[in-house]
Amino acid sequence: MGLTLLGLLENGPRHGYDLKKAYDERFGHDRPVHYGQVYSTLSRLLRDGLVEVNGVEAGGGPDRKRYAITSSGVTDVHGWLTTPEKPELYLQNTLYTKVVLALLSGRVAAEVLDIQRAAHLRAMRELTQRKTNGDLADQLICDHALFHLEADLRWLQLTAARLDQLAKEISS
Amino acid sequence: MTAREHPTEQAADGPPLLEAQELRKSFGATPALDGASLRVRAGEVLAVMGPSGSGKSTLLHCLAGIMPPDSGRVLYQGAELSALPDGPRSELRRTEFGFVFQFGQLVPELTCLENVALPLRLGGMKRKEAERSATEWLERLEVADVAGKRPGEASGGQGQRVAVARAMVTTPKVIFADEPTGALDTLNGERVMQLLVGAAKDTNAAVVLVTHEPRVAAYSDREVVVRDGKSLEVELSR
Amino acid sequence: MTSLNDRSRGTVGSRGRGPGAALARWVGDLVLGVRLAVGGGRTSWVRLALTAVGVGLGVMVLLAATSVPHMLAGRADRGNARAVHFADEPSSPVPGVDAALVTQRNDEFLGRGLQGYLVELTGPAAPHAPGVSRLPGPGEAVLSPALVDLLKSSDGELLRPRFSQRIVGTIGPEGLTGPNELFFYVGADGMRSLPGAARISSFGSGQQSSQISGLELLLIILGAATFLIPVVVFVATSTRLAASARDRRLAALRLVGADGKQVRRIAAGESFVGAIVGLVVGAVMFLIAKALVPLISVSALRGGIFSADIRPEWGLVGLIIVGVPLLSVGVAVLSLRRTIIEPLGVVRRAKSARRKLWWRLLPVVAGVGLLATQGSKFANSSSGASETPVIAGIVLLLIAVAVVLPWVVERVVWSLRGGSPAWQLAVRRLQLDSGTSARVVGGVAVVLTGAIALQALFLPAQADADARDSGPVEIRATMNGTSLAEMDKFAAALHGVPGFAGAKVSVAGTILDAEQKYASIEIGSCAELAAHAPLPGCVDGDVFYGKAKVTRGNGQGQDHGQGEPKNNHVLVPTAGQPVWFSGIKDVKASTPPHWTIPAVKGTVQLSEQRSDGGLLLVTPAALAGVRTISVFAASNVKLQTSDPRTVEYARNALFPLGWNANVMAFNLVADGGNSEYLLIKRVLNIGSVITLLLAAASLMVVALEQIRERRRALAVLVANGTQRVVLARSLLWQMAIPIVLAVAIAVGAGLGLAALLLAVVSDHPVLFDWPTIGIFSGAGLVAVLGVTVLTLPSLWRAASVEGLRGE
Repeated sequence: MGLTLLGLLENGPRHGYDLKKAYDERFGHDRPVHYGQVYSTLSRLLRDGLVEVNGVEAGGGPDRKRYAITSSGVTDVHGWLTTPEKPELYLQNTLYTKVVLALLSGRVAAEVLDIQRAAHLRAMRELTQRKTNGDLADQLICDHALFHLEADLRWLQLTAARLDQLAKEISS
Repeated sequence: MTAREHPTEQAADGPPLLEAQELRKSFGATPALDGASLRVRAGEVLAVMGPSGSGKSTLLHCLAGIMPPDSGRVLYQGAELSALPDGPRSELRRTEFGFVFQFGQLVPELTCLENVALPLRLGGMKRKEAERSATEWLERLEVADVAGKRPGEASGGQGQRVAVARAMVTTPKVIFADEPTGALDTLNGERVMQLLVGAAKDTNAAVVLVTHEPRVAAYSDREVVVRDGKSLEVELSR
Repeated sequence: MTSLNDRSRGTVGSRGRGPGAALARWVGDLVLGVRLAVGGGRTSWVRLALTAVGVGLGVMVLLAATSVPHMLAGRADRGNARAVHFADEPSSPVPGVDAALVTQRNDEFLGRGLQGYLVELTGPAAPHAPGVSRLPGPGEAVLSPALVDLLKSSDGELLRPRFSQRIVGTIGPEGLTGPNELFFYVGADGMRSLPGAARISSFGSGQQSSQISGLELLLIILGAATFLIPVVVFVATSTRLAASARDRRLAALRLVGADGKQVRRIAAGESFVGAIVGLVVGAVMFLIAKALVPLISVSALRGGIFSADIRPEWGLVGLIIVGVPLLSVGVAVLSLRRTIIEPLGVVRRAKSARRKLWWRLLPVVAGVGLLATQGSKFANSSSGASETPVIAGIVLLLIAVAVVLPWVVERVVWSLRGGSPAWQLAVRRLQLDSGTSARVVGGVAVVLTGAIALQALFLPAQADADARDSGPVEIRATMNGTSLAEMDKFAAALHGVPGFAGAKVSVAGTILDAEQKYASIEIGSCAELAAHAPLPGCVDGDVFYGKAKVTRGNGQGQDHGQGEPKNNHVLVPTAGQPVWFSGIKDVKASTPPHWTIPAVKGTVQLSEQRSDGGLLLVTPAALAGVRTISVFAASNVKLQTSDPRTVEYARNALFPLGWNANVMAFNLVADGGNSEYLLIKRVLNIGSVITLLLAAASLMVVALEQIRERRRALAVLVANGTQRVVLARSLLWQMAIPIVLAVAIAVGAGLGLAALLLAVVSDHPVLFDWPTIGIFSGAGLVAVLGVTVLTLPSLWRAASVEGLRGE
């Protein structure tokens, strides 16, 4: 969550409320995030020096602080995006988030997918190796994992093929 | 954990057996390859991945000397393949390379045994001798029982294994496999891949494996992605 | 999306409800087939075009074949219309027509036949010659257009001296057998003294059309059957073009709900379009060929063929119009019998059963039986009643060749083993499906069988016509004349020609007495005459009588000149006998005798046999003072030259002597003999070549189709490093094996058929023309080579990288 908010801030300073709205819009899907969670995360980021308060507006709202990402925050976001997720089940959400953020921040989103694909393939390779040398039980267990990884990989390939379309939708 | 991208560079040591440098190839106005490069070492299984129409088959055809690139070089054991005339290139393909395609590669009117023996016989080997080696390879690929049948009478999986036997029978240095399991179900595909890779490892042959299937690519040691005619290699470091 | 669904439902699905729907469905299916044939974009147009050209070629040949009778009849009629009856008796005068003296002259120029009449008019109302508005007077000539052109051309330079007359007109088409015929009417005078001149009041032999003899009819039947069977095979092959692509298309139709019967009707509709377009293409090709025929048949058939002579027989045309579409639809439907078209693809029914021999032998047995039992009747009658069994027998035997061949090919191919990879590829391919190529090659085999049988039938006729040997060129120069001075001029002119310097010229003639008894005389110096027999004490002015060696009719041995000749018409010269020279018109006992035989100085024994018992040997001085004379000079020369112009030099040297001098060359003659045999033979030979080409085209169609089907396997072979030459060789073997078998069977069957026909139908001895058989067989093999070469580009295309790409 923290890295996601950081990623959203990379496009420019935002108020906490705007940040929540942007998060909900992009990644919240049917479950909006609580304000409290956003504020607590922001204060943690503030404490770690990854964001700074960019200005306070006077006015009616409960908190009109505007947050901006710091350079170490940018480094963290970059590091996160270019680090593959450990291949595991149902990780599309994180990957999706990464892809969108990469697109939003003008990075090469394909790179995110390529790196992830390489990691997935490496995992699959290891499983295949195990399978080839193992007994039937090994084979079945490995195949189970392999098929799930393959599903992820297929999603990665599909997404890679649709990056242009996604970028268009996000920027609109 | 960091990641770097190396479009052309090869981190692993050892001289490349087969190398493509900045290949470009167009069919009419449509570019199929737009600066693709890769290297394969002996005994290495290299997966060439990418979406349909990305140019991976064209890359394979150029690598194997079936088709000359418009520009760029293909080096086999340090010699430029595209500079060779058709005759020696054909001979090179017959003796040093082996091919496995998705389907329809066996001559329908010859028996499976004759199909496997064909490359040896084209090289001038006596029929008996050629068929003896062919039988050995058919046994090794567990399809000795279809030796006397025509490809049409064998199942798809058996046919592909016969094709692998034909590719291996000349003990080539490089095996080019273009979607070798594309027409097979999972189990048959797995078996063909295991036999293909196993046979290649045993003879220290390199395999250039063109596929879009991750599970097939998982049999490789390394992968190159072709996208819009460009090659892309990602190297993860732990 | 919706529109697509609607459309497919509209065409395939939703019919079949309501009364009369069956017919509507039929028509609908056929129409869909038609639309598939023309509506599939470029490839379907290409396919349709190929089919149409294939069927069109067949239709063109069929139309041409139906035109042959008209063509032969037309030529024969025009030939008869200008014929002159050279009877001994002058033809009865026609009132109002001044009779003309006519004699025929056959000449040749550089191997081309040159024919015409010398005419001498006796009055202004000359007889009418067909195509000639006015017969030429002395010093004038009327020539055929082709002759005029030849004289104008540079080739005609050597011919020009012979036609120095004023050309007063050209011969119209109604007076020529062919547009390029070299024919002439040359005006002359003094023809009364020419031997063989006829006095006529009209041209034309009166015969409408010459009767075709039994043997000739047989030849025509054989030739026609030979043409027709390959044409049918070819048309059938053409409609099968791209059958695999069509089957796939039909499978797609099955997927959207067409049933098996519908698919068959749709296929029928498709091939129907091909056949109809083919008919149109064939008609157009026929018309083009008809227009081109005079240009391409310059020297064929003695003067080429008039466009107007090529008229198809309308009844047969109707048969073609109905039969060709029926045939192609039938073939399309029948060929689907072996193929099960499933919604998801095409399954070829495995043909495990070997071909059976027994029923293939039925036509052989029936054909031989018919010929053996009915043939003799045919030979003995000229009526049409006995023709049918013989025709049926011949056709059955020809069909038998086409029917037995697939069995033989299959057997032989299955027994072949091993060999080089190219050989193995070809043999295995043939083992898998030898039927298609065997059927096509069957066409070639039928052509060859027919042609070889024809050759064997022609040979006796040819042997009768001229006994040619392959020795030196033999030239015979002759001259008719009315004075010895002319003879001397002839000899002098001939001796002036290079190569003729020492040529022996003999001068001969025939004398008649008042009772029309005749004797031969030969005129020459004592030295010349001594060649016949020693003439003791001969001086110029002497006359000797040579008695011939006589053979007794009872074969009991020879009687050396004992006794008088048996022939009552033979004149034994005695001194003081008044005689007339033969060959001069109006010889009658009432005219004063031309010569009185002087005292015979001696009777000598000739070394040769003569049918007229003897020969009067006369020295020139003995004829001094004779005013009217008719003699004939001849010189036979053998020349070791291959230059055809030598003969033309001789002809030109003799030309100043007029048309009475003639030079004939043997062994040089390319266009000799005017027999109808030659004409029929030419027609049939041309037909054989055309059908052979058709068969070759069928082979090519089959090869192209096979290459298309095996595109991927071929491409993979080349990717695997297979040398292209291996593939080319395999293609060659694949075509050559069936062809060689076909040639072998055709030679055997052809010779057998000819022997049977000659032995049973005619009583000619069996002779075989091996060089011609070799040529025909060679032509078949050359066709294979040609087809292979023509097919190679497509093989290379298929074997290129494009073949590796998916379907």
